[in-house]
Amino acid sequence: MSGFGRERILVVEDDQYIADLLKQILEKEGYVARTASNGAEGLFMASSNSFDLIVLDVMLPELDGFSVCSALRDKGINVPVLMLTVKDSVDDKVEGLSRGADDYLTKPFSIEELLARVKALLRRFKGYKSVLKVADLELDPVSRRVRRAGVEIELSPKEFDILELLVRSMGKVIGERAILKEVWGLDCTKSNILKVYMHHLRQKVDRGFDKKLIRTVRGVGYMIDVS
Amino acid sequence: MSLRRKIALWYVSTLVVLFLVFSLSLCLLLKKTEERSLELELFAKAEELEDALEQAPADAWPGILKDFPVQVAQIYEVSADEIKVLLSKPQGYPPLGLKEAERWAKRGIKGEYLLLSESLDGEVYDVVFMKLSEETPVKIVAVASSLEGVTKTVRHLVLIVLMVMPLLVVLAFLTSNILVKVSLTPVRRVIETAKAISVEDLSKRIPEVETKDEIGELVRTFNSMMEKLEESVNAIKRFSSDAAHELKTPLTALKSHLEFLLRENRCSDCEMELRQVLARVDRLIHIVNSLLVLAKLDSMDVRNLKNRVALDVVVLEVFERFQQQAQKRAIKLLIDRVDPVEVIGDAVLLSQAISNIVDNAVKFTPSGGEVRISLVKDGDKARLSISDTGVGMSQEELGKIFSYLYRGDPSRSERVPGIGLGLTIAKRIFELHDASVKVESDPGRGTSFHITFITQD
Ligand SMILES: Nc1ncnc2c1ncn2[C@@H]1O[C@H](COP(=O)(O)OP(=O)(O)O)[C@@H](O)[C@H]1O
Ligand SMILES: [Mg+2]
Repeated sequence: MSGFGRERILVVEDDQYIADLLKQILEKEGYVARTASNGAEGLFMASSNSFDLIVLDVMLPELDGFSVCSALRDKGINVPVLMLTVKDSVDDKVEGLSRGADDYLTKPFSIEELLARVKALLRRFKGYKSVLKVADLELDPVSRRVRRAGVEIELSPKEFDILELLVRSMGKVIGERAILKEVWGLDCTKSNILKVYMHHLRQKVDRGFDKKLIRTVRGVGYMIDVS
Repeated sequence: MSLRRKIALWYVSTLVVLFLVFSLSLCLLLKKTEERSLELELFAKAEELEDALEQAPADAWPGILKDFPVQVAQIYEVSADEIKVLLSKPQGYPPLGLKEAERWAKRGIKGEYLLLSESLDGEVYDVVFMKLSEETPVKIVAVASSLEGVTKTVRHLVLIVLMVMPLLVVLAFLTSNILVKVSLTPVRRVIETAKAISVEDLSKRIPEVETKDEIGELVRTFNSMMEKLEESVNAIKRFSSDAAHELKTPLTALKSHLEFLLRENRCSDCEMELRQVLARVDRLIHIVNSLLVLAKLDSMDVRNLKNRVALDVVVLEVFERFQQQAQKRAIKLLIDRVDPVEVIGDAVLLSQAISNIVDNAVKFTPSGGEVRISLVKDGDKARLSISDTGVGMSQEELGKIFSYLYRGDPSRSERVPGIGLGLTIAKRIFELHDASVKVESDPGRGTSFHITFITQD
């Protein structure tokens, strides 16, 4: 099978066993995978080839993962980066995020989790990459950040998905079931989960603003009000 | 009492005692020399008077006596059976020490003196007797002088001492305070540095002092002790961070490989065994993670927990993460209400602590049950509640669940994964965040954990 049309992933990992395993796992999943065993090699490969995603270990000989990441960003290579780390302290997370990583996974992880993250990252970067705007609300699907009137709003992953869904179809009412299916993959649920989420989302997005962006259409669903 | 006070007190009291001893000796010495010089003076006077009287006829004696510059002078005549006063200055003055004079007159020879101290009308006199002639009746001349002058001088001195005393105490106190303060400054510095030292920051040292005294030595000893402590703590820290890496890398390989084999259905006849091995590996990972978190919490400095954390988002993320697990066990994981709440702390640690509670709720609730989460803001407090309809706990068990490695009912523990560190870790993390934990439970009906946070606005 040729690599044509398949997504290319670079795995930068110094542990040979894990690197080979990840390569196998990713290839079985239908990706093209290459490995690099240290930071310098990883940086070189990432700059000279085009990859759709880089899986980057933090603890690497010679050049650590953070440095590789910021070097890539400095060169203007905006390929999505999934960081693998053994430490799970915030410091690591903050450091990585400020160096331009897009997501995190702490070792040891389950491969299901790894594949889910890989898939989500690839989708995020392939899809509509441009920043979405409604009134003074900005939503960046790549970095998954939201701002209103220039102030950053922190949202949970599901909340972001709901908001993105609503913003992408702004002006149209989205039914409760459609949201549940799209965001949670649930067909039907008796729980009040969506109500709680919408309530919370509204508090985070609309509280303190005259213009309320999220509107409830009783008995039907929700919409972003642009009128 | 502080060391400074103690030293000052010792200093002042020692000074006062020394001063008193010195003054007392001075007074005594003064008294002795004054008396001695008075006596010598009296002797000289007596001799002079004797010479004058000897060379003059007896009828000129009253004149000589009268003009002689002495306080008291008397002439006695001692016969075989009596002694009488021949002449006296001042006139009619009572005789001084007649008895002794009489006794002495009978034994003594010319040219000898007798010195007596006589008390007359409450006043003390020194008296010197001297023989005028040997022929009978023996004549004796007595010269006396009051000791009042000496007493007065001594009294003056005592008065001065008493007056100087309070002044001395005050002065001593002031100087000692200053002295002690100056000499204890390095000790203060030792104390302040010691206070500023924590496991997180062992790099602080006390500025070295040049002196060769005990304080200089104390500072040097303290610094060298800190040096050793810092080295060993760094070694431990390096070890636990290395250990994290060394343990987690092979575990990652093992877990991924097992999952890969299962996923690919590589060996259908040993799938059961592989799943069992994977469960063991997961348990091992759980143990390693828990121990590393505990080690980290032990060396954690509360002062480093200063990020603003959107607690509501942390709660929602935990809620989202447990969705799958709950679904697998056919448990309804519900969220009732989440108010936007900000707290100060560490988002990863808080997420870990909340996960541990939710994990228990899901684990200890049978299929068909419910787990409810809510975060309610109330003034400057926020209450996070996690309630389940699970197996519950007895009052007795409730007292033990937060202790290290405690796990409930052993027959159940076999089936339910865990190692008994979840709540230990959760509690420590909540304590680091000044959050209080309350548990209510009803055996067979369910359990509720209520965690109260102080919010940041
Ligand atoms: N929600 C709950 N319902 C019933 N029992 C609980 C619950 N939470 C904790 N426990 C009891 O407390 C014990 C200690 O919990 P934990 O420290 O999390 O250890 P582990 O989960 O590894 O057993 C559990 O073994 C269980 O007996
Ligand atoms: Mg537990």
